[in-house]
Amino acid sequence: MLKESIIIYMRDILGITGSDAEELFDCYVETLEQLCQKLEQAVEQHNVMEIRNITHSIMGSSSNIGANIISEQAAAANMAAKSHDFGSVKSLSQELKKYPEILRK
Amino acid sequence: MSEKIKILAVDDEKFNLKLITSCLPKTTYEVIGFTNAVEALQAFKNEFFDIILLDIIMPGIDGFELRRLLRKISKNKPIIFLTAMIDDSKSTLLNEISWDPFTYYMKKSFSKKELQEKIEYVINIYLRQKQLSSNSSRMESELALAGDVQRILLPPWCMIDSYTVTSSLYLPQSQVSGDIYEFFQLEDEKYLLLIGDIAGHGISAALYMMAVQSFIKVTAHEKKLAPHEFLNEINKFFCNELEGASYMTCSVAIIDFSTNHIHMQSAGHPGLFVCSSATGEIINSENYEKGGIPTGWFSQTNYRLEDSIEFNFPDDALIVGVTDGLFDACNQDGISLDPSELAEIIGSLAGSADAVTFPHRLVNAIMQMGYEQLSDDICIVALEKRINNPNLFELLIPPQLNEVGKAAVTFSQKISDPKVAVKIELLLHEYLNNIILHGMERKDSKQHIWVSMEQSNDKILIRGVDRGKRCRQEAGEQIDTDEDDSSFQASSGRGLKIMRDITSGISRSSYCGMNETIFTLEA
Repeated sequence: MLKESIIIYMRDILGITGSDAEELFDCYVETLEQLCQKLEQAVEQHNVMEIRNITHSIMGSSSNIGANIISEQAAAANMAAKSHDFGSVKSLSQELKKYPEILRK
Repeated sequence: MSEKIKILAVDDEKFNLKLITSCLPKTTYEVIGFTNAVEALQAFKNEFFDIILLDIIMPGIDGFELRRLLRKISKNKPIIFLTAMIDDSKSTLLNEISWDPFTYYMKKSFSKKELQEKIEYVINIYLRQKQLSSNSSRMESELALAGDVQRILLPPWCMIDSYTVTSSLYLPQSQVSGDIYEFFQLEDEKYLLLIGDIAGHGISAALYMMAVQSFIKVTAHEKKLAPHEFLNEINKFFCNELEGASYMTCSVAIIDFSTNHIHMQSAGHPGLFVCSSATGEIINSENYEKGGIPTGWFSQTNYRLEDSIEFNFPDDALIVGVTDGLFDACNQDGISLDPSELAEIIGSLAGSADAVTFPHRLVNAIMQMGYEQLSDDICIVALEKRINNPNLFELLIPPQLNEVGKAAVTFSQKISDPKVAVKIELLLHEYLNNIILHGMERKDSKQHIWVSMEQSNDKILIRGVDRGKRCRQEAGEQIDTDEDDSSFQASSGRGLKIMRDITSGISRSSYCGMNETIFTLEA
């Protein structure tokens, strides 16, 4: 469902279809995976600045491709980090970590 | 601009760079992407780009810092910040964008259409501004050229002939002026003086001024006209040839130095001030304000003989013409110079300043009295009759190094004592070489240096007047050291020392663009 909504977004809003759309989608998933791994490390280190930078990047990339649910969760993690609520940050980062696999299915 | 729109894109995420590239068709756009600022900066130094797309939040050098570095290379290349950043309570984002007039902002996420439209909009603004800037530069160049042409058409700042000494100060408010003056010999000791102000400012007034200048020269030489007849001819010229597109206030005078007689008429312009140098009295105080209708207003205007003024003047008279821009000079309280106040200043200055220095000293005096805000073109002309004085010798020297030797020898030949003659020659060599080499920025044929030599029983006074760089002294200040005046330094630095050794005193004064140097030597 999420993958389909992203493909529809790419087609209707970005005007990108075919192999270009596939390439872009694959690039997004790869980027998301890398950012989620960095986020996990930053959460363990309680590095607020790094958490905020990474979640900001996830927000931007995800909203650009129409993955709004991912963008919103990243935004929530960003705000939680700002408030030093590491509990919420951790649970949100674990949710985010699941998405690359979901999108690859 | 290149055929394709060439874009420099910088974002630490490869995905975002790929997204931008996917949104912009290769037929129209060429996107060069970098994930770090250092590589992007290097590429910007080496290649041409039409526009820059920047992310803001990046590790290391962020978007704002990268823009600062890019602006050292290009002050006005358009930059679009593409960001998901939300502004904080201090409006950081808004402030960072708004201080630079060539920075724009676009929120992530964007659609393909939005991105393309934004890029094209920004580039169009950039190209329009570039065109405007180019037009503005061209206009500035054309104005400067018009100003140069005007200067060529005007008489030199100082003229001496067998009968007269004349000096003028022409100060356009910007690069060109609508003020006009002419002074030339009609026959024998009879001269024409015209001073006027053409309506308007800028290029149009300057062009009319040039047309009228040419007309005046031709008409005055072809026809023997009285002042009122001259005004009628000028009026016809404005109404017919210039089709009433402009008008001119002016005063015209025929001055006969054989009979010391002046015949003048005004067309809506301040009249001439005729002062006695001995007493400072204004001889024509009853009628220097007498007006008339400006030329070019009505084709039916008929200037009549009975409206003109005629009177005699003494040998030592100083004749001064001014344009009305002088009456627009204001002090800090916004109060402008009154005509009667100006007449007083002219009268009191006439006792101490000769025709050569008068125009510049007049403006200097007015500014020293607090009327420093000059908002209009100014033109001042001063002339006097050349009196036969066997002890006085004067010369106008072109600002060319190959004229210096000739001039120095000419002056030295007027001195009977050979030792003093050698000193004079050496002094003038040093003085003129220094002024021409170090003091004159413009060396065209109208920037003559006026030099006079007056002998008395025990001393010789040499005066030099130039329009070179401003000397640093206060009026009449004595020069004591080598550092006192850089325009007096020969390349070896010995020039001033030589001049000090020859003379018993040197003083320099500067008046509104004119320098006066006075050397005193023992006879």
